[in-house]
Amino acid sequence: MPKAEISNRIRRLRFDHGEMTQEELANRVGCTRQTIIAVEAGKYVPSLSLAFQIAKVFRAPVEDVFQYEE
Amino acid sequence: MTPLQKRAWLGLGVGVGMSLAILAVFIARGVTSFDDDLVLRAIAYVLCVGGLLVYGVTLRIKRRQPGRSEVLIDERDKEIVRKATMAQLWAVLLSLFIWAIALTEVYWGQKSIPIIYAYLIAISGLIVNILAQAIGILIGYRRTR
Repeated sequence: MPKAEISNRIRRLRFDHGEMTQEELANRVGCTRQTIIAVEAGKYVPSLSLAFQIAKVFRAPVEDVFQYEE
Repeated sequence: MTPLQKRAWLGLGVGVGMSLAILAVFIARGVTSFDDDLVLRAIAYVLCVGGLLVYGVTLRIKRRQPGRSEVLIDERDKEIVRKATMAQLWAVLLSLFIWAIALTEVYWGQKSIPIIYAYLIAISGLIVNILAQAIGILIGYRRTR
């Protein structure tokens, strides 16, 4: 099975949503700021539930926030 | 630093502290005097029970602070703990096997093992457990930082 990478546009989307801070996003989706930092940096792949919650905050489909790359 | 990371550093401190304490006690009083030395036995009991209590207290982390929206523990922390638990399990199993093989080889001729080793195995199991969990958590954070 080829190794897949999950990239994301969270940093861009935060900027587009009134320069939302990582802490604010973390509080809105119910995780720690450190987890948002790790997800943004591509060091941690969030669960489906967290991915959908993040997408919901940005009012965007989940595939607009996270991209699957083989 | 997340509360779990703080706990891991505390665990590391407690583990190292307990190791040094037990070493100091047995170096000062001698391992072979355990059968006759009531003070040494009392210290061994205190280290066992006290260590377990400290470990139990460090395991308690609240998900949220009362009255605050800030989350203290989330799915990434739980994933890191899950992986650290596997490291913990293997480390404790490995330590038990090392004790079993070492004691069997050393005391094979006597066909009996001094009773002190029951306490040393218990205390070392606790220390290995605390250290492996702490190190596992810290490595987990380092990898997903």
